[in-house]
Amino acid sequence: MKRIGIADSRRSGAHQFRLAFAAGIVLAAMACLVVDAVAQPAQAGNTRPRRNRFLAQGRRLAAGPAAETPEQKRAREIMGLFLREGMSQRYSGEQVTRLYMGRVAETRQIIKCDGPGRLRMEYISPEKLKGETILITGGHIFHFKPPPENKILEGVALPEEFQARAVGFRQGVKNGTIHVQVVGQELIAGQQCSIVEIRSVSGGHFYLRFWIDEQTGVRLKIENRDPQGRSVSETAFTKVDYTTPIPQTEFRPNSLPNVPHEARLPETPPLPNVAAAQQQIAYTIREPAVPAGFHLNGVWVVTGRIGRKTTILRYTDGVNTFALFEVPIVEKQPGPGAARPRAKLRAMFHNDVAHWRSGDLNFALIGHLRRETMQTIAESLTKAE
Amino acid sequence: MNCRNVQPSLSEYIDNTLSARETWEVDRHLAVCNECNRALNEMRRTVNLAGAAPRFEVSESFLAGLQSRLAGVEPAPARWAWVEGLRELFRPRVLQTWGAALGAVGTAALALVLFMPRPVIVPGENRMPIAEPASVQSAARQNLALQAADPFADLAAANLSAHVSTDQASDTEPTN
Repeated sequence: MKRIGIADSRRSGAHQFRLAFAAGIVLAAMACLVVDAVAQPAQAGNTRPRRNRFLAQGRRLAAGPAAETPEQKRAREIMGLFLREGMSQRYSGEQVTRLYMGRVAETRQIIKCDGPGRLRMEYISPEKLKGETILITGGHIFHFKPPPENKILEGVALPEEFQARAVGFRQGVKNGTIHVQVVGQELIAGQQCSIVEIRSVSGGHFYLRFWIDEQTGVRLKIENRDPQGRSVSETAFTKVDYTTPIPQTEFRPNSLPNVPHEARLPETPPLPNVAAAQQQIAYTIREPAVPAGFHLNGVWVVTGRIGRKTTILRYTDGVNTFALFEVPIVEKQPGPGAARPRAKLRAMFHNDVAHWRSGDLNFALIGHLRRETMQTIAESLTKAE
Repeated sequence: MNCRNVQPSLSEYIDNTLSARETWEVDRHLAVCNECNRALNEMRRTVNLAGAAPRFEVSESFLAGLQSRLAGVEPAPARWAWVEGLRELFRPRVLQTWGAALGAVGTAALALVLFMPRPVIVPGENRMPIAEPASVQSAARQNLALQAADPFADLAAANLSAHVSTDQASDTEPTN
């Protein structure tokens, strides 16, 4: 008797359970796929290298460069054209720059170049950067920041530095620590370009690609790639004009708005060594464990607005550079929103910046380096306490 | 109550085994529902027919024999017990619960994956406290100046990178 009416209930119940079961399976499968997809790169990033990179690079360095191929020879010629002719050209144009680290960010800027050490870069987009201008002239860099900052940051950009970098590159190619190779051709802004790949044989795993105008030697595109060959940043001309003369007034500092100047960028040539920097500051400079293939190629001491002195140590492998900034901590009382900047700043690790505190110093490490390399450097400074 | 709740209860309603409240609710529904009234009438007719059927009297010895034979029936062999267990697990009503449970687990896993904070760098990094934002911002700007005399640098990318860093430290003072 009691079974009468239950059949209907079972039919509707069966429908419900099928729906619920199917939904459960689909959701569980989706969850598994997503977990798997997320876990794989995380694992790859967290896994220590199978062999010690700091040691392995020494072996590669000892092996020396392989015999030169036609592509390598052509690359040397093209890079010679870039350093000899390209840096002396007068031209103007429009560039687009993109960062692919974390969120994609993009700027557009007008470039005016008037030979070696004379460059003007005016931002036209995005709105936030519009009007910002970088002027390099007379061995100085002037960085105009429009309102609300409304000031010009000033520092040095010495031709001697430029020459030293070019000489270092030539020597690196010659002795085989820098590998260059033509990997193709492409039209950029209507100009036929050779694509040259530049790698450090013994140093960092990031590498560069230059698109060099075959006629003028001007670099019309630059790309920085990670060890997996993915572009992390690029800047390319969308228009270039070699014929229209550029007024000389554009390269005078007084062409910039009349706003206060702040000399808070390096304003002297690099110091000869860390010991020379140590004489100028009260705290003890900490030197990191330097990745194989890199060497120190610049030390500066810069005084900030409130008198804090920053020590800058710059390292290079001939292709990649990274800079370590050390500045004493000035503690502030944490406000009610103290947790907020902490969370935001964590995201900076998505870019080429790492920063931390250790002892009485703030550290910032900026450069294209593998995360495990950054970690090794950071730990070496922390252990040195 | 609606038809879906009332109809399974009709046989108990006829047998007067429902609670007072359930009976009152079934009554209230029957007062407005023709379909359930028809179902109730059909059921009553069936009950009446069954009640009107002739009864066969059996002897006491027959009942005693039947009971002893039922008592002697052996349980299913142990080797099939797990099959029965599985069947029990996948009864439709139990499956409904399984479906719901799987759904809940799936949703929870998905939510965990979507909203879980992800590590952004190798594990040890998070053990270190972060630097003062102003010092990071200042470093990013100074780094741009270091690139100015480097023919291999991408000055525009360095400036954009400094801006991205500055944006992320926007709650802080401009420089040191």
